[in-house]
Amino acid sequence: MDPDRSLALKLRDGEPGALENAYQLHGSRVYRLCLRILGRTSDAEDAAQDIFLKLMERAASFDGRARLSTWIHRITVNHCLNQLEKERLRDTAALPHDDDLAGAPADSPIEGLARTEAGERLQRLLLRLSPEHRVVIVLREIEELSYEEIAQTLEIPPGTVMSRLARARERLVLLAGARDSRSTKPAPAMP
Amino acid sequence: MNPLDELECRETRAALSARLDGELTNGRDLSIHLVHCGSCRDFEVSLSSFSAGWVELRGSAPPATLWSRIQARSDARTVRRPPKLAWRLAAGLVGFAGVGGAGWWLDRNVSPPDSRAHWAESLTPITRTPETSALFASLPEYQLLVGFPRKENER
Repeated sequence: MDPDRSLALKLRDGEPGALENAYQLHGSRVYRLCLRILGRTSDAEDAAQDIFLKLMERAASFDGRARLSTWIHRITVNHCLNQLEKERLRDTAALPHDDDLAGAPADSPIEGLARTEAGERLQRLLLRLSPEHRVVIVLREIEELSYEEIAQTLEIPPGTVMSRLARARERLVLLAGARDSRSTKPAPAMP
Repeated sequence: MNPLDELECRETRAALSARLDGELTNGRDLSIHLVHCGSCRDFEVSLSSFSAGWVELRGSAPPATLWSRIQARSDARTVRRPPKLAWRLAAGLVGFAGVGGAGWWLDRNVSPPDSRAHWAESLTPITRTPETSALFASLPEYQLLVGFPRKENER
């Protein structure tokens, strides 16, 4: 039997060791996706826990048409998008939209999300993209999925992946330029 | 920038983005546009400037305690909610035992062994004559209730 299908059946039947096996195979990816999309380690840990419990509940719906990893990516992305939507509804100021450049906390600390300046800068920029753009960028740049895999994960045509990625990158470049110009602007002279 | 230039820039950037990912399939020559368009050249340079940052962001590992927390929540769920199949089997067994037990009790305590015949005969106390009895006995419904009359030599 196909190993993906076999693992899904074991998850569905609650077989001992099946969840651990799924975690060993996919845990890092799930956590990393959550971290980069949600932007906070505590949220990413909570989301990863929820997602692995969801895998057990939904394993029966895995039909084997896509790879198990694609199916898990889909569940992860949808869970994170739902979390962002809940957060947006709860407090629209918590996650700034990319159009809201003036109000964005561009220099707020990002704990544990990046070690170097380049990583931290990109993480900040990511969090200022819209959820739709953020997801497509994370799947491509961080998870290194092909356009076809991204299309399967998001259930959109590959052509849409290409154009959405291009828009997201344009946005990223624009935000980076705005941030750089702000940081290089000379401080106002003291009276 | 006029709308046609903007459209061309947009298409060029989409192609540059796909080329960066190794997904450009139509083999479009972007160099002609890039020679004339500083904005698209800047876009390409900016994209490549991000690459070191992406590499770093790929390296995040989950905390060591994450699996134990997932396991604890999974165990708590399993204890609280047994598998559906086990529930169904248990409910089936209880139902089967209940119906069987009730039938056995009724059979032992309420219905005498020949109650069907008594009940059938009690339906016809007024009209009961040798003729009507013979007529009733010949009806299939009556035979179903009291059983088919046995011949004398079988008794």
